[in-house]
Amino acid sequence: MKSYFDAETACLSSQSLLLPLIEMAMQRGVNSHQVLKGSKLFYDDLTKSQKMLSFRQLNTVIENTIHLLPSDGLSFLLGQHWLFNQTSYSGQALLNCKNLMQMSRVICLKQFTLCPLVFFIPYRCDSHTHYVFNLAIGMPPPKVIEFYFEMIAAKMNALCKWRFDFTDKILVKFPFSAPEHLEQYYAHLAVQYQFEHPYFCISIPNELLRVSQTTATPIMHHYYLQQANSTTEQVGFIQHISKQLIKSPKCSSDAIAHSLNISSATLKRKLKNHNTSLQTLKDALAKQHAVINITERGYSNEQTALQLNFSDLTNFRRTFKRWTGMTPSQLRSTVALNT
Amino acid sequence: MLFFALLVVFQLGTLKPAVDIDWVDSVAEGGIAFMTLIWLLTTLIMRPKGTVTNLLFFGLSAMHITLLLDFLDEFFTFSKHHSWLSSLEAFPAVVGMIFMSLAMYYWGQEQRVLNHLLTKKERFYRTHGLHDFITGLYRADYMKRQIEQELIKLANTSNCFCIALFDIKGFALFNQRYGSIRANNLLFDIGQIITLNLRNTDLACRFASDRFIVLLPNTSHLEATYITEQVANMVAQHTPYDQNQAKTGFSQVHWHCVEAADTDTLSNLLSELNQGLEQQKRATTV
Repeated sequence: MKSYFDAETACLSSQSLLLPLIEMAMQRGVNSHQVLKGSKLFYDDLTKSQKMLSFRQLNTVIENTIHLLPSDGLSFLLGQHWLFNQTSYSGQALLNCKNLMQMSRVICLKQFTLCPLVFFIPYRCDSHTHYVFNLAIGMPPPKVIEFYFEMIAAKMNALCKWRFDFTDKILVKFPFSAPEHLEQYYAHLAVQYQFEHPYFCISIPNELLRVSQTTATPIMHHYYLQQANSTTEQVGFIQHISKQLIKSPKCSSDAIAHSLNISSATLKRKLKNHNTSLQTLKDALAKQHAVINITERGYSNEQTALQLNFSDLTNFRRTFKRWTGMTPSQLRSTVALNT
Repeated sequence: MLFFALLVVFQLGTLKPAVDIDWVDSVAEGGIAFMTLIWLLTTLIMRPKGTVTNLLFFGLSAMHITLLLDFLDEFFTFSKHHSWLSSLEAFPAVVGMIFMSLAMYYWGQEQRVLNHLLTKKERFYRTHGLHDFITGLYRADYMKRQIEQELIKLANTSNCFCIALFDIKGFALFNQRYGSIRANNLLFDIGQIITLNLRNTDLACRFASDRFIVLLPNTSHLEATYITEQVANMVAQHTPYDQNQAKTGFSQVHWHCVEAADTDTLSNLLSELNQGLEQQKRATTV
């Protein structure tokens, strides 16, 4: 059995995102078939209980929504709605965790149910832990990626407001420039946020990860988690490859293709079909690691280059500039200026 | 009328031989007749019933008859006895155009009535694309354009203006407790209350989520603060009822008002306004 699914696999449940999205669009005077246009989904099908959809279909619907209701803040509303309407055992296990640390573990454990669209890599530093998010299934158009990231920020924001009292100590860094609809950020986000970061990241002070939730019942947490165990866990195509790349960053395309039981040409075609390439994925992961080392951990260029297996410093500096548009020292001074 | 015209043509005319028909001309004339028919149908579907719609309907129908006769002319010839048909052909169009002109006149008047209803919700220009469906006000994008224009004006003249931001305390809770439909209704009501309590020169728009933004042109900060406070009090007094007539409510309204300086840009004015509101919120919750 395959342990991953791709953008075409119809395996995402429609009730967590699609149905609320359509409902919200309809409340704003948009017809459901306009929202579903081009996705090969029909409104009547969606109300059937076991209707599953693929990532590509979801992207099409979200693209339509962005086009029909620009700057309406639906991503934020959808994020809030998601948090307050967790009906699955996994969702209840999440909401009854002791603290944020345990929550992050539950998300990793029950990722397919809780957040199949993205995966995160935690980087623990002296003062903060930085959760770097990447798309798990494929690369949708930039506007849709922004939508997903806004949605995650809204979930985090709503969770902190609901269960903790340190909302304004959380920092969300968006990988795009301040959008036209900045007012939605003003109105919806009580967490701190920045734009034009090299990657999407949520930074949480380490001491807050252990602060207990106010209204959770941790004793129920184990029960819910046990109940949730029966569901099968699989991860998105990009995440599946990224996991291998994290284990062995120099992994060749042949080795990955072999592990997926496909030819390396098929792998290349498949990656292209998901709007990415092996090099892009490798670069993204290495970039995130390098930027964290340099800006957050205070590593020198030598230390970082060594950790990322670069043969010489000049090569590292050149590659770093290609990734971020800045040399390591330039980035250091920009960060120093911002703080 | 239409059927009568068709009947007369079919009864009195004789079909032309296919060689005599000018196909290019008939396609063009048929196209015109078809398009007027489309206009006629859209008028009936899109417009509410009333005098203006009736006049438009008669006018367009009359024009359609002329254009149809003109089109059928290409296929039929009439004997000398019935040449009157060709001479009378343009007559319905003239009558139709008179009707249409009348309709335009009344339409203008109707528009003036509607414009009056839109005072405080619209300034100088209309663009339905920026309309917010839930509150019936314009969205933040419309306000941004207005502020940009006011900033240009401020740089040239010295007419000061203020902008104010309102935030409903506990709206998220209201939304959770009573559901999004009732929450949307509440937003609509609040939009109405805000516009009711503004002067005719002011403009209210929905900013984002539960925030509303108001532009107060030619107003000093002192005056604007007074008006804003009044509005906030009125909104805070609003009591939405649920189906069982029991009171459901939100407790308070946060508001903040800033005066634009001529060094301001749109983005820093908005961010100043929002930071002020955040500070105000924090001050009241502690």
